[in-house]
Amino acid sequence: MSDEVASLVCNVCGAELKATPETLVKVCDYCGALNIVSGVLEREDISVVPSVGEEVVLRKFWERVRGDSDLRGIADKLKVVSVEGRFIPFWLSRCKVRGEVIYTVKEYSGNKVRVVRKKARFLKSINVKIVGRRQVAHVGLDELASRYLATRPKASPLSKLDEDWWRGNRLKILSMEFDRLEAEKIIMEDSIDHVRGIWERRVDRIEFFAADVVEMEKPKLILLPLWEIIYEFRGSLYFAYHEGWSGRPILFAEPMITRRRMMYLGGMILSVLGGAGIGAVISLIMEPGESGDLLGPILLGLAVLGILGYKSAKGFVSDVRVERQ
Amino acid sequence: MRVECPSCGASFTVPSTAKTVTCPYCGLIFGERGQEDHYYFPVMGEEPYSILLNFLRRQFGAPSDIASSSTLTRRDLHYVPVYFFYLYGVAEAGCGRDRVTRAEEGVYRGVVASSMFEELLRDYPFPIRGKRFFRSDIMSMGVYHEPEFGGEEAYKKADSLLNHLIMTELRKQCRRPRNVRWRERKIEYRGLVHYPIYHVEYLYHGQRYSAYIDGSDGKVIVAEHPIKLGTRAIQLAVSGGLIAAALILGIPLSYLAGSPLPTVFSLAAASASSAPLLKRTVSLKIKASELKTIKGESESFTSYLRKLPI
Repeated sequence: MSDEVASLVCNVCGAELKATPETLVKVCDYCGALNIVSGVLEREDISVVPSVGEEVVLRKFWERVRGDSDLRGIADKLKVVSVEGRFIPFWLSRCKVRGEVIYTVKEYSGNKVRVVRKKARFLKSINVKIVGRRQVAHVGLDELASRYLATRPKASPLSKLDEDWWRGNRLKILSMEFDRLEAEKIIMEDSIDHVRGIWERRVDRIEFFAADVVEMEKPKLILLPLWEIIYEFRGSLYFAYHEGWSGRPILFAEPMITRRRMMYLGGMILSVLGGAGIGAVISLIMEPGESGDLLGPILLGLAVLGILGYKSAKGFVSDVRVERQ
Repeated sequence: MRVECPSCGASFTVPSTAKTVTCPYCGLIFGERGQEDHYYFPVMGEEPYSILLNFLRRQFGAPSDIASSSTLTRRDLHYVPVYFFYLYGVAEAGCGRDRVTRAEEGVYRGVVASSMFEELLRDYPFPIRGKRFFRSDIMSMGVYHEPEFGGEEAYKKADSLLNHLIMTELRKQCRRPRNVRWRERKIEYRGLVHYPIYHVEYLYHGQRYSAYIDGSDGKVIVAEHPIKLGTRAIQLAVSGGLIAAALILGIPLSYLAGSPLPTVFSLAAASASSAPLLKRTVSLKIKASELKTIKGESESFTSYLRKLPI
């Protein structure tokens, strides 16, 4: 029934806009234009990367299917079930994070291991991208933003889009949940977390970490087009995500075909054969009593075989492969 | 308590927590407006069962006839009481002899006031915008859950949650933080919200499976599904075959070489390969969720990790 209605009109076509005061932006029911309703959002900071049409996206989909060694053989058994394009809001900014870290790393010299404590100061500039919606990041969104930052397709400012453009737009616009002030807080937190994450991956253990955002570019809101294609193969559904500015795929889930499954089976068999073979070789060249010296290589050999077998088995039981383009 | 609509005169009952209400007859919103109010999220138009089936068809390992061979046996809409808060804190801690580290957290969180849904919706990313002022008809639209505790208890829970978030952040930055000092601490109550959650059950080849779907945006929170029967048999056969091969190869070689190493190595490799096969074969029901993201690389790893066997 009736919501809390603020009396607003669409700034592109003049029709009445029905929105609750909680709404940040509202898509006009008549012409489809994006209107700012409330919150800290400036028109000049919003831009849209226009999308190609559905036919182009589908064409690129089938090009990829026919060009892929796995999918080529089953191309005629694939059926597209749905194609949907959406504009996803992203807040983009660049931050300079300055800080200090004290960490420990293992240093190897010969067969001795030392734990060393090191200190470092850093000043790192990073691109930050956050989805303008408060939810666990959906698959494909991170890839979409990364592809945008890598290729920088042309974006049109909101003010340049006229009624004709909005009426011709076929993509659903996902509502955003953050205005600029909220986005700024998240961006600052995220950039510190991101830089800390980089250090965590580089070192063994962090003893102390302190960082501050010393500079942040005014975040800009950009709508990026994402196309989701769902296709069917033997009763199961698989997805493919394409960016909308050129229609090229960015993430593709593929069914596990028999040939690849056999490869994984081969990997498992190889690890068992390898195990027997390596075990035999080592025991033949080894003198009795020397086993202590060879403990290192023996354990290493076991680890390698174990990993080969385990990873092959994981691939074998999987029903899908996800490829990043 | 009973209220009367100032516009159409209709009389109806609302909980005492609702300060602003929507008249179920003429739609007028009246009452005192405040941020600390009683709200609800409207339920989506889509059918939860078809959303579930489409989700299951995408699940790795689900039988391919999961959609066509299952029947719906339960479809309940629950309105779950959640106290919404905005938590903000800045804290400093001493680290080592003379260093200071700082943590800052600003998050929206919901404190679920229903023991039936507490586990399911812990740390759930509730939407911040889109809530509406309470209307009494939602009490008869589905299973309406009264909050099991009041605002004061909810506040205490929010308080300890903020502590936990800041301490976790501090521990990531310092091995042994001491003398934690709070520089800023805000726990803003944003109202009691009744959130729609669908509980769906379906029957597949005589077995019952359960699923919970967000009633506002259709996200599949958790869904159980069976694993392909054919796959199970193959996996069992393959792991059996590998172990057998390891023994068949290893034992004679060990005998010839006069050492247990060939058998040990080949059995180790066979066991490592069999582990994923056997583990998956044993589970009868797999739990999948739309809340976890799918990562592209090492797809077999992550698609397997996403599943939590019961």
